[in-house]
Amino acid sequence: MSRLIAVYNDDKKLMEAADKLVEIHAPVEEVITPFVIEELLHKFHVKSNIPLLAFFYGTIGLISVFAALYYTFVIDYPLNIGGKPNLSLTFPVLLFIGTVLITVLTTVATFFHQDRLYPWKKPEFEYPGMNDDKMIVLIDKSKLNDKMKQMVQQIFEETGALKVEEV
Amino acid sequence: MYKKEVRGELILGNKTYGDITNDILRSQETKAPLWWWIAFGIFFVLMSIGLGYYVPLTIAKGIGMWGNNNQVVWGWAIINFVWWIGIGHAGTAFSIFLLVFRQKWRTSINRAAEAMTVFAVLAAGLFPAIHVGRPWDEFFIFPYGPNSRGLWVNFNSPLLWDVFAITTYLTTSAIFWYIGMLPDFATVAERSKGLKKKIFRSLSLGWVGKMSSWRKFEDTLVILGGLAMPLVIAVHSIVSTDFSAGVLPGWHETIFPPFFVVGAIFSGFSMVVTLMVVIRLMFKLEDYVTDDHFDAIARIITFVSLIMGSAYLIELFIAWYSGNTFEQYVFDENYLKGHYAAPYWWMLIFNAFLPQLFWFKKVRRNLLLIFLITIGVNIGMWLERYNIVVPPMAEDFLPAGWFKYAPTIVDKWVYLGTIGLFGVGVLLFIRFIPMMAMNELKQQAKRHTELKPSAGEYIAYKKIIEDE
Repeated sequence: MSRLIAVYNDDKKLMEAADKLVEIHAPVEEVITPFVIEELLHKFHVKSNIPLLAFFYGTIGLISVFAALYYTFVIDYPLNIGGKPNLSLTFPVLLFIGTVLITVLTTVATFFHQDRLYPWKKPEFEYPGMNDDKMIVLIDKSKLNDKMKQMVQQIFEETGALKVEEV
Repeated sequence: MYKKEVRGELILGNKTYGDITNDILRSQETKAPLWWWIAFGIFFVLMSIGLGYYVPLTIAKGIGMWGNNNQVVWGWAIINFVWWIGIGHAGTAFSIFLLVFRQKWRTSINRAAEAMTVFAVLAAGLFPAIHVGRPWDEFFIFPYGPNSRGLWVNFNSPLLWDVFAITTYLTTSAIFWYIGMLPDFATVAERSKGLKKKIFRSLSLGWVGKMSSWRKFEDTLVILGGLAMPLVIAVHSIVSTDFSAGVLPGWHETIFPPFFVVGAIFSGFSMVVTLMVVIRLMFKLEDYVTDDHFDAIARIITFVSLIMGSAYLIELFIAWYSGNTFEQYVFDENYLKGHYAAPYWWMLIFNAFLPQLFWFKKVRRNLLLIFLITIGVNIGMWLERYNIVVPPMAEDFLPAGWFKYAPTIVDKWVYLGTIGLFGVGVLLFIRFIPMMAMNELKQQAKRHTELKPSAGEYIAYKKIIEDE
């Protein structure tokens, strides 16, 4: 895919550019930054469904751990320990730990899956310094008409991008 | 909403983003200094002797090689286990509590604290593994199905909860540590060549700092943090239940769970400080680990020390108030003035009295004193576990059964071996892994540029003042 990229090394300038790009509805594909810039995420309304999914996993985890405990201790082998009830008050401890374990593993798996992270993966985009101090705006060129392209390039120039390239 | 400021600058010296990368990666891009090789050598020898000879000896010949006897059935193994688990709580306490409470000053220290957690929990995990005497039968503790006796494992036993709690804690801490490092691994990969590049690229899982990736990254970390925070409290409460579910005087106390949790955080924080003092001096990272950082941790240690002190007092009070002669014997006769008075009083000095020096600003700003006091706390916390484990068992209900406990050479070397394991782990960590979270430091640096007026704003501001 051919892209128009602009490289910044100052997040203030980057934010200025982002404001203007959002204003003219430029087809910004991604902004790559070496650290999280919360304002930028707000600007582009970046959201994730991981918190919701984690809650869902937690619920499933809680139910399945309870089912496992209930099966082993009440149904399969109801051991009589001094006449105490089999469905005992010690359940919450393991319920909590089991739920945490299941939620942690599934949430992390979801994160890896959604972001397509796996060992030996070649980064989908590379630019020298992008993990160091360079911030890069990627624009999808196929969605740019001539007028839009001109406006975008003007914005990059005005806000002082270090480099504007087509890759 | 992101620009509130309480603590002032957390990174000194007007660093640019590039400077931060260079400063933090200097430790792994230059040759290892001499002190590193010396320290590594010492810890490696300790580890090799302890884990390479004395652990196999224990497994081959049995628990009889230890000082445990029929009266004192738990000895150094459980003391060391609880001590290491306590230190292992630092990472989570430090990193996650401060993450969830949005304390930005955690950034310079959290990575080292998390690394410490992983190695400390590994060291701790050795003791339950070998204390059973026949480690090859260990799979019976996992609920893989009704075992040969047609029974399930006992889910009512705190010892079994321990198995689950600690494996969950180790898993969660390791995952939290690793995910936090993904962007930094990508940075290392970008700057290196050859095999190192391949290894770090593989470790970074192809990380690209896209906006969507950062959102997911942040959300995942906060969720892991939120889940691990109550887990810390659960894990050490469960460790304390191993004791307080027993009817021995000195153990059968309801104060144990909070007492253990706070004690764990106490020793963990102290160990973090000890390490950070060394790291700061050895790698000249004064700009990142500032005096303000030590000041903030010292305040927390003082507060926790007060809680520990009150817990010791409450134990004494309850022993007296209960009217139970056995309980009174343990506390009044044994701890305060009996056979075990020395470790008890040293514990009080190290844990409750010495950290009170942190009330003075001069002490909080003196690296040497901070170092010595935190080392003292670590010794004090080891003595506390000794006081909990040995004296109540050595002199319990029946004076005819009283028996002395002394550790053997095997006990001592296994302990030194775990210290070696921890030291080797930490040294490898500071050499091969970015020891501070660079991406988070850059976030802090960004906040500083926002707080400082730009040159134009400053001139305008000055003009307003002059006009007035």
